[in-house]
Parts: sequence; C-alpha cells; structure tokens
Amino acid sequence: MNSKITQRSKDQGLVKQSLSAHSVIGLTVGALMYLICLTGTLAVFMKTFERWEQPEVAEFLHYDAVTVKTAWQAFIENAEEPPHSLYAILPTDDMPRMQVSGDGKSWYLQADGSIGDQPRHEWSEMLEELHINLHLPTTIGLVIVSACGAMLLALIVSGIFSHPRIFKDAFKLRLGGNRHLEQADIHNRLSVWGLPFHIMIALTGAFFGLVGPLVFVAATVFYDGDRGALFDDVYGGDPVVDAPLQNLNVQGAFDSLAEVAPEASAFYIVAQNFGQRDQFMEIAATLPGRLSYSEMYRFAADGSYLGNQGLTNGDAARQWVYSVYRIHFGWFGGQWVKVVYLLLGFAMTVISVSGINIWLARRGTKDWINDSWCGLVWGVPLSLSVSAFSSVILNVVPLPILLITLLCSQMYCLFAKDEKQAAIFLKKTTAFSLCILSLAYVIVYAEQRATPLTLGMVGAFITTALILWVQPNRQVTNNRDLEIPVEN
Amino acid sequence: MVEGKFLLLPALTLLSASAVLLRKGWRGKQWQHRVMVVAAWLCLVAGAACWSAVEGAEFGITLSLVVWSLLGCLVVALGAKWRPANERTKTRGANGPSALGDTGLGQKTLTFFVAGPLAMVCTALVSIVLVRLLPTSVGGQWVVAAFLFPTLWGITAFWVCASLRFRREALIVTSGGLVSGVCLLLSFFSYVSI
Repeated sequence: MNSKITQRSKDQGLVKQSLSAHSVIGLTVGALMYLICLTGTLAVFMKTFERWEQPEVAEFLHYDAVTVKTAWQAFIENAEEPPHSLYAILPTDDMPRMQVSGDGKSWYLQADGSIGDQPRHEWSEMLEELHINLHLPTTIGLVIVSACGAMLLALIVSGIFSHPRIFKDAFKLRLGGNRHLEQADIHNRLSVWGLPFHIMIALTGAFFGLVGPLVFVAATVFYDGDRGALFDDVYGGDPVVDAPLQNLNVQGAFDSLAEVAPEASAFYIVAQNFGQRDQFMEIAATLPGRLSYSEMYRFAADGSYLGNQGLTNGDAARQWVYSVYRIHFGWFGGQWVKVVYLLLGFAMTVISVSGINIWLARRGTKDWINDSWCGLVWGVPLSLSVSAFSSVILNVVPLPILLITLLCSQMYCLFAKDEKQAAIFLKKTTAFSLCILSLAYVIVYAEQRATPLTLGMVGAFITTALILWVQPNRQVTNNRDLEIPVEN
Repeated sequence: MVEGKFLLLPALTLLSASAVLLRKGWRGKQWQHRVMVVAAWLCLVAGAACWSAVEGAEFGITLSLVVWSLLGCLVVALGAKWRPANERTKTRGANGPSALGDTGLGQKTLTFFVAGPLAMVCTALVSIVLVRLLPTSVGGQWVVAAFLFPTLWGITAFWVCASLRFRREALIVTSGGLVSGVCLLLSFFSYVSI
C-alpha cells in the first residue's frame, strides 16, 4: 500500500516537473517556433510561389542536349567571365521552367535555350530566409533555427511525460465552453496525432544548422581543419579527371544516363571545373520511390559515364543524410503530399500558438504580453500578405514592408489593449489584403489570369480570406473567469 | 515494388481502421479493448507494408505515418463534443497554481539559458566521441553524430529544466562535456586514438 502511494507520488512529481520544463522551454522558444512553423508551412509551396511571382516566364517540359548547349553558350556570352560550375536547371512537373546559372548569376530560358528574364522572386526568397535563418547573419540564424528543432524534441519528450493520459485521451476533443480547456484539448490532440510528423520535422530541421558546429569541431580534431575532407567522407568525393580540353558532349551524357539509369528523372546538369582539363559533367536525378534529394551521375567531357556518387545505392548513412531535405519540406510524391504537409505544418503552428495561449490563460493576469502575443500571431500573416503585395505588384523590397507591418500590428495591439477586438481587426485586415492582392494580381498580370497557377493561387487566397473573415472570434483569454481543467 | 496503385486503397483502409480501433481500444481496460489496441497497431504496420509494396519502403513508411496522423486528427474531429458554456469546471482566481512549478519563471528561464547553450556544447562533444566508437564507416559515424547531437541536446535540455536539483544536473552535463573535450584534445595531439 505504502509503496503504491510512494510510486504515485513519484509519478505526480515527474508529471509536475515535466510540465514545468515543458512550459519553460515552450515559453522561451514559443514565438520563434510560431514564426518558423508558419513560414515553414508556406515554404512547402516555395516553387509554386516562385512561379506565381514571375508568371510571364516561359513554361515547358521538353528539352534536349541542344537546349542545354545553347543555354550554356548564351550564359558565357552574357557573363563577364566563365564560371567554375555552370548549371542548367531542367524543367520538372513541379517547376516547368528552365534556368541557366553559375557563380551567382542566373537567367530563365526560352524553350529554344535562348536567355530570358532573370529570376525575380524577392518575396519567396524573403519567406525562405525567414524560415531558414530569420534574416539574421546566415550561420547564427541557421544555428538558432536548428536549435529550435532540438528544443522541439525537448518539447515532445516533456509533453509526453507531462500528460500521463495523453494517449488515453487521444480522441477527446471538447470545443466551446471554457476557452482554456478548449485550447488545451486542441493543443494536446494535435500534438499527439502529429507526433510522427513532429519528430521527423524536428530532427531534420535540427540537422541543417547544428551540423555546422559539429563539422567545425570534428574537422578541427580529425581532419586538420579540412571540412571538405570530412564532407568527402560523408557524401563521397569528386572524380579525378585529367583530359585534353574538348567541347562538352551533353547529348552523350544524356545517352549514357538513359543506359545506366533509364528510370532516373534528371532535374539539373552541371559542368564542373568548366573549361579546364579536369572538367566533367554531373546530372542530378531523382529515382522513383526514393527520398534521396538526387543521385549524382558523373560523365567525362566526351559524355562517357564515370560513375555515380552513391546517394541512392551507397552507404546507408549517406542515403539517409541525402534524404533529409525532401523529408523536411515534403518535396516528394506529388502535390497531394504538399497538401498533407501544409495541413500538418499548420497543425504545428496551431500547437505553438495554443501552447502560449494556455499559459496566458493560466497565469491569472492580463497585460501587455497578451496584446503583444496577439500582435505577433495575427500580425505575421498580415505582414506576409502586405509584403507580397508590395513585392509582386509594386516591385518594392518586401523585408522592410514586412517589418513595418509587423511593427504597426504590435503597436496597434498594444494601444488597443483589447486582444479580442485587435485579433478581429487584424484577421479582417489580412483577409482584405489577400483579396486586394488577388485582384491586383489578375489586373497586373492580365495575360496570365486564366492559367491554372493563377486560378489556384487566387482560389487559395480568397478561401483563406473567407476563413479569416468568418472565423468565430472568441476571446483568447478570459481574465474574469479563469478556469483550470479538471482532467488536464 | 508492385505495379499499379490498387494496393493504396487497402493501405488507406487499414490506416483508417487503425485510427478507429485505437479510438475504441483506448476507451477501456478489458481484454477486448486490449485486443483492439493490438489490432490497431497491426493495421498500421499492414497499411505501411501495403503502401511500401506500391511505392517502396521510403515513400511507403513516410507517407503512411503522415497520412495516419491526418486520419487520426479526422477521427478526433468527427468525435468532437460541444461543451456548453455553463459546464462545471473548477474555477480559480489569479492566485491559482502556476504552470511553472514552484520556482519562478525568471529562475526557470535562467536555468534554460544556462542549460541550453551549455548542454549544446557538451552534447556536441559527447556525440562526436560516442560515434567514434560505432563499428561503421567514418562517413556513417558523422551522419549518426549529426542526428544524435540534437536528440541528446533536446533530451538533456528537458532533463535539466525538469530537475529540482539544477546544479547537480548542470554538473553532470558539464562533466560529460569536459571528459569528451579532453578525449578530443588528446586525440588532436595524437596522444590517444578515438
């Protein structure tokens, strides 16, 4: 009897301490987590946003070796000096556009390989940077974002330990009534059902940035500071080629690829060490059913096959590490997988927000933190929408617009001192701005208004606007009637 | 891989059945409920196997898990109950129990900031040393380290934040980091080989 009581007391202690840790970690990274989850959810459709931002670019799926050669020749004529690595990004179902690039310069291509417009997707890039490094200096930002991935793992572990009935209650969802109970139910249900997805995203997200410090230490100790040597051990090294200079036989490379890997779908070809004796070609290709970002097939200048990098058939660890990118961003299996990632990513965003909402409701006071949190949660979608308008329609750099709009949202919420009304106002303003963005887009890009891409994007924006407009607006926290759950 | 997508339908059916069976099984403790829970997990495995047969294990397992998550959310949403506003709940005022335990938010946050960066450095060093003991290729060791490091850091951060004896945990983490750091230093100067 006594041992049972002692055990129960120990369990309760563990639950209490785990809840405490969950709260501390969640509160410390909550705002960043929200920003990273929301931008990451949108980043799943990055390629679609890029196409939407520049709809006049030629779209096609057919290309051949002549197209690539023409593009490379045109690049050399346009660039001041030949690049070290010269890329031709090939059209795919996801991105039916062709691009030539090297040494930081890039152009879209016409179907015949001639050069077209330069890529102009400032808003998509801003969104991507916001997700990857929060627009901080790259290395620092990347480490901070990835640290949030590690903290997400901590939150997952502490969340499980702090809710002993989390699996037993996995199907209980009680909406309405007390706001705090509702938020707790939504938070717990989405957390437990999204668990496999959350672990996948946390681990892969943490990998991107935290691998940097790890490589620095490991390379210093074991490779005399040569990080390239460490990467060669992980990803495999480049082939050693030394041959007289000759024109690159792109057709030969494509023919060789068709022989060695007929099921491979190429998505870019690159001439490495271009114009030098050790030049060679690489074709990056996806393989059906494989999560690996690509397999790299190497070819000599004359088009003969040199071998592959072993990213799909080499060391298991190498295959796994090269699969991280597609798993994290949901870039595999077609559009429906992106929709699934969108839904689960949105669920993660809701979990971040509801976690902080629960804490706000529990703490028993209502002050500027409530208003500021409201300003962040509803200010970010508005800022993204306004910055998209400024960038795509007015051609204005989007980041300052995003920051100014976010600042205005914060100021408004802090001055209004009524989070309910402020949330309603910001939601309706976001809905209005999305409608204006859609309307302006079909006016400015009148020739592309009937394309599936434009129709899809306008449809998505209008649907989002409608949801924001009609969504029931209940008070996030009710200070006068704070209640704690009986079961949670 | 099996040609054709006809196996996707049974895969989806099995995944749905898994979510529904879990809903029923987790409601009670009788043997029937336990059988349902076991059957639910078997359905999940069978669903993933079907999907893997169509699109390969990598796509099959990944997609099965994410789709199963969504199906679970759907089952939850379908079973959602509307709670009237006057339902009895225990009410507390502004002086109710804090979600942050007995210690103040300031101290806990300080704990997190001390344990966060400290744990980061220490677990990075521990990860590097640990993976060197693995009987796999050098490249494989670094890949394991890249995933072990954030996992260890996350768990350590939780452990330190959850602890009542924060100083003891900090000491243990620091010791682990120091021992690993010394091992790496000795290896760097070629005194030992790890």
